[in-house]
Amino acid sequence: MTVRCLHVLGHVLRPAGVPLAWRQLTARRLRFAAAVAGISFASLMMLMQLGFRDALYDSVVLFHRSLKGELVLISRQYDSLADSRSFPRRRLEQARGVAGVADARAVYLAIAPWKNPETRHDRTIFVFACDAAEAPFEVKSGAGVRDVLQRPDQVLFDDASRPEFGPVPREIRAGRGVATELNGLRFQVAGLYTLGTSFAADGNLLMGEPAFHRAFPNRSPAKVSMGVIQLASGADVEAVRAELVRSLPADVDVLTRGEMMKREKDYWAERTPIGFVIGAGLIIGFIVGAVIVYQILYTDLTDHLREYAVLKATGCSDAFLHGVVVQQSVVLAVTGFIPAAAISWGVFLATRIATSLPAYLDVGKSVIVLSLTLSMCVISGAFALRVLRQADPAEVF
Amino acid sequence: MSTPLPIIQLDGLSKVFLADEVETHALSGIHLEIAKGEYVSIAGPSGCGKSTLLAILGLLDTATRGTYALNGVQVANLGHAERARIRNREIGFIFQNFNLIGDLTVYENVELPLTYRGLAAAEREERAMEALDKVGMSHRLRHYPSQLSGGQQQRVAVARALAGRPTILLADEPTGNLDSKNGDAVMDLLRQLHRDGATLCMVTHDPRFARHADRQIHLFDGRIVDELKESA
Ligand SMILES: Nc1ncnc2c1ncn2[C@@H]1O[C@H](COP(=O)(O)OP(=O)(O)OP(=O)(O)O)[C@@H](O)[C@H]1O
Ligand SMILES: [Mg+2]
Repeated sequence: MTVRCLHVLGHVLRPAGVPLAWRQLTARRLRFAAAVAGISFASLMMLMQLGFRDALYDSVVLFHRSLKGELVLISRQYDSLADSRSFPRRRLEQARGVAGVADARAVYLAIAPWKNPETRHDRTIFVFACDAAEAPFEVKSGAGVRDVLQRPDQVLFDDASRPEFGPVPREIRAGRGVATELNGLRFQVAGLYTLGTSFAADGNLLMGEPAFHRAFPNRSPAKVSMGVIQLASGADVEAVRAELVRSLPADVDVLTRGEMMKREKDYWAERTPIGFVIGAGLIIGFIVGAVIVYQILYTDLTDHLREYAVLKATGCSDAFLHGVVVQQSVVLAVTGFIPAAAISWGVFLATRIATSLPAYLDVGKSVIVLSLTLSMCVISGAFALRVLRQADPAEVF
Repeated sequence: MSTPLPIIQLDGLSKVFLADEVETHALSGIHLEIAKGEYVSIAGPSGCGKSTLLAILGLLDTATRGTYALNGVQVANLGHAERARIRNREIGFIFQNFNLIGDLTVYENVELPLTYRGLAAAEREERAMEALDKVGMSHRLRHYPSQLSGGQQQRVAVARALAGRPTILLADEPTGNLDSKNGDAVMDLLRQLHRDGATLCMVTHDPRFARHADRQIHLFDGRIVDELKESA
């Protein structure tokens, strides 16, 4: 089998003196154009699926990526950022007592209605909060973050938030103050920062502990959503983690930042239909393309059956004929992929502009989809070339 | 004629087709030798087994009984790939309906069988041009078969058969689809090739063309019933 494959491959790679594959494929222009369009469609579908999947995964871990700490404490019941549950603040103090831990800082997470200051419509916004001193995650902002975090009535607004939350960035940049209601209480937007939106959160706020407890009076100050652990210099991550797991009660989990990100991605992939929908989209794209390629190659081979019988009569090996079909598959795959890549590039650009989701046509996706397209074409070609068995050289006389 | 060693040697060769439980004895007990440089014609009524014989000679089909030696090699036990290799190198086929590849030019049609023999590009070109020269078609290299007359197409097919420099040319009614003028031209061409040393085995209904051959074989009901040697 391997020898056979290599043999076929040899014929594919050999600079053929006669471009039989190309000629037969392109002789019927309309059919060829239809085939390329079909394959493009399939490739485009796969590119879009992967593009949105990556955008989704990248967007849901934007916050995790910004954490300033190697280890994270979360509740045992933690599911995702949007469904985080809280655990006793005391765990942070206990963690500070563990050797190798430099600091353990609280993060509060909540979701609450935000009143669009212009339309007065409520829309659910994602709230991040931290203790007053300094945020244990990166905050991209020009405003005086430290001051804002100490105020019970001030928040920072994510300027990547969807416009449905109101023209807050425009107003702030114009030097006008913005005041509106969060969870039914009045707050002042003191400045902007940049995090980015995700499928889970299309608008974000950042505030300090005083503001958080004012906005959410029924959240106990003794409970936090997340603990960010900074290690002492030279401390070994795994050793500290082991010690934390050993010394802390079982109501918290200790994860590295990488594990947190993986957990968030897994949540979206496995616990929501999104992963399934995207996987199904990929498979459907693959199957649609495979059926189109099979149909085209099968018809083409059937049309030329007599010619193939003549080729066999004149001593052409099966490997050569298979090589011709493989070449045709490769030609179809590549000519179909190129327009798909170009179109997806444009669609991703439009997506970024419209939704600020991080959708990109990168090398990784291109390689994956080109490989999928190639294998889709070659597999279909392999099925189609079975029709060549009907080309009987004994019947050419 | 000298006493040449036979290129083709058939002994007690039979072919039985089995279709829907019906046995057709297409060939029965054929003895035949063809020497190098010979020109043999085969004639006989429709269904007497002419094409079947040619297909077996050309290694396109296998005999049911009897032996066939090509260049002294028994072909019965050869594998699929080896038979293809021999067809490519030793046998030139000329068909009644030309059987050129429609999507390839005249030149490409002639070159293609050389490609899968693995010949280098320069050698392929030399051989293809030489063969096209011989049949007088080197002025139509870039034409497609559909742009040629039947006679021209058949001449290209002859060039394709010649380019491999085969041991023997097998032709099944090569003028069957041609008008008399084109048919005559193709027959003259084959005759000329024979004079230049080619070995030929040709099926024809036309007694005028059969007389070109050194030997005329008559088949009837799968048997050789008559063999006529021209006084050369
Ligand atoms: N594949 C096959 N299956 C069954 N019978 C066959 C097959 N090929 C040929 N025959 C039978 O074998 C016999 C010889 O056929 P063949 O084609 O050799 O005749 P032929 O002499 O070439 O006739 P024609 O002059 O019409 O071309 C016929 O009776 C034919 O029906
Ligand atoms: Mg016949």
